[in-house]
Amino acid sequence: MYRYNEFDREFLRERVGQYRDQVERRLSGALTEEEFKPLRLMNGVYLQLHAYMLRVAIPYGTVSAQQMRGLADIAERWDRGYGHFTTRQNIQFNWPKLVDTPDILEALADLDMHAIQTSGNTIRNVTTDHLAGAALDEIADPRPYAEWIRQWSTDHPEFQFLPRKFKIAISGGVSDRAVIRAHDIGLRLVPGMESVAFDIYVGGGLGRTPVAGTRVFEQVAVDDLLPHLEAIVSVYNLHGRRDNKYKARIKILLQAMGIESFKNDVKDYLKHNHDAFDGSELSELTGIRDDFRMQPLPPKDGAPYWERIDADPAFRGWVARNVTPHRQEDYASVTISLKAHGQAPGDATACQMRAMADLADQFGFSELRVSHQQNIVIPHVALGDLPAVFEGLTQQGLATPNIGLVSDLIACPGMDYCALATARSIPIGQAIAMRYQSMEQLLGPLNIKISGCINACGHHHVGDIGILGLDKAGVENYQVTLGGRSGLDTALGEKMGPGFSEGELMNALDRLFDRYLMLRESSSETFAETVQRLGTESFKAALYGVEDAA
Amino acid sequence: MAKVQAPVVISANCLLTGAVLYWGSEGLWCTNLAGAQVYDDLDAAAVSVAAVTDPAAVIGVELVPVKVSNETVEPRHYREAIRASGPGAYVLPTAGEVHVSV
Repeated sequence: MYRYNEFDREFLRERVGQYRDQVERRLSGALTEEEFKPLRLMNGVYLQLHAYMLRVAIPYGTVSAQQMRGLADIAERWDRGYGHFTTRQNIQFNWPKLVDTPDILEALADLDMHAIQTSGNTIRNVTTDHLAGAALDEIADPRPYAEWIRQWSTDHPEFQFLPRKFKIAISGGVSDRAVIRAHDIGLRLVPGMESVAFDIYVGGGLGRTPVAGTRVFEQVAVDDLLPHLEAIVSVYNLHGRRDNKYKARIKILLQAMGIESFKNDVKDYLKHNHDAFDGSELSELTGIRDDFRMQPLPPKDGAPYWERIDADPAFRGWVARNVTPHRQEDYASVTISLKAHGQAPGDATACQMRAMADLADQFGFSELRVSHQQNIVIPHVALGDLPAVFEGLTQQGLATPNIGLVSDLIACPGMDYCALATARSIPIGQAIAMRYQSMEQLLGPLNIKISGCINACGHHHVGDIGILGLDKAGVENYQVTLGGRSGLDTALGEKMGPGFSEGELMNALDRLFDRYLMLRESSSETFAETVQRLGTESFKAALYGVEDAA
Repeated sequence: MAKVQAPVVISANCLLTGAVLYWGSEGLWCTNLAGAQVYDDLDAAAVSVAAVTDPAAVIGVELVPVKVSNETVEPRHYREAIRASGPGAYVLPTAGEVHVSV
């Protein structure tokens, strides 16, 4: 992991001091709410429906066991004993008091963490593959580059007031597990002339106008990465619309300019911005790489695993769903489900956070990851330690064997918390998880993504089944999309038609799943594959309970 | 302020905690919708908004349409019902009473 140096720590101390002063001035009346709001947002403090919310950055989803324990302490001391892990690989605390937020930020700084740029029209937390450094198909570990980009973008003087927020994701595997084409900039590590290079996708994003990012630059050398990013964001900063926030994302600019014109502007910018990069940034990268360099993991006796896998069906079922092969064959990556049936997706109690931290300390080199699917990953666990990890997780209600199944759904906080939401998401997710618990193994791999408003924090456009909650004449209404995909072949789901009430939605899903089970060629054909093979018409008919004309 | 229909109550969030507040019939902010002052006259409500808005104590002061039946006050829109009742009980752990002092 990246290790903070004294510069980083001093920077955070100064920022906390500034924020503490800002809060004091707000409480004394020296600052109006209008003046204070942008200042608190720059430190991740939002006002939601029922309380303030603090969004804490977890850079590229990587968190140490010690940091996870610190987050648990914050949850208990200043919140209500739990936190919510988000689709942006961050954590949100839903109940902090404004007066406590400077102390929370100070506690975070002591953990080498912060909430800077988790809000506002800036470059947000860089996200990446939750299996980085462990995945079998990895071309290169994306985390050093994610950290490099984090350092470049943090407090970047030109990019604090962009036309709109800006999200960058980076993938280092053959498979894209970071949904890079749904980001303003998506970076894909590819084999290059000298070690690795980057394909740069631009203009992706979900929300009101969903667009899959376009590959604008190919085979960009590592030395040229930051100049390219600087040029792309600068062109956006200059030409992006500021008159209409719904037209302000880079995807709209790219459509308006056309790809060639945009690309030419970036190339023009590159001609003079190369001077701004004098090579010192490459020295920084060398140091960062050292922090992430992985030695071969120590060999360990695998016998406990082989004994248990034969003898215990519960363990076998958990391994089948929640354990992923590792690039080192006597190791594996463990996905800890934060989706126990009926639970709010992504929530973890302080007790659970500590248990995960303890297991990471004991069996996982003290490292954890937050996945964009709102689960936690221990990336490096010896096979022989899997039985002990399983037992530890079971004691905390964290061993639900459902990764990739119906109940492993993504849901934004929705109207239970979010001031922007137009409908609730969590109870829809809860109802689906409970209703299909007994048949989810039969249904097989299937991802459901639920958003409580058009902003699409629940990524509904790229779910096998997407559910979008809207306000229809004062009643919650849920639109369904089918056929979304989130890999390199990203596809936006097709809207099926009029929305459903909550009760109607469950009946519609019953019919949809019946149709899938009837139409699939074999039990190994997934829902997504069946929809892709047959198209959506028959499934649309099933959703609405009408005769299939096909 | 958005166009609203009477009857209404005055709502805001507490500056210190963010908690949902209602202007109460006893002339103080309270956390319970049942204790809210109901206004049948929008003009009177607007006058009260101006009088009770204290930027050092509350933020986002607004009028919330309600319906009153058998002396029970209920929000007209589900968003306000959720604001009044808090997030669902499925959230772990069960959310407790918000302690507010304004």
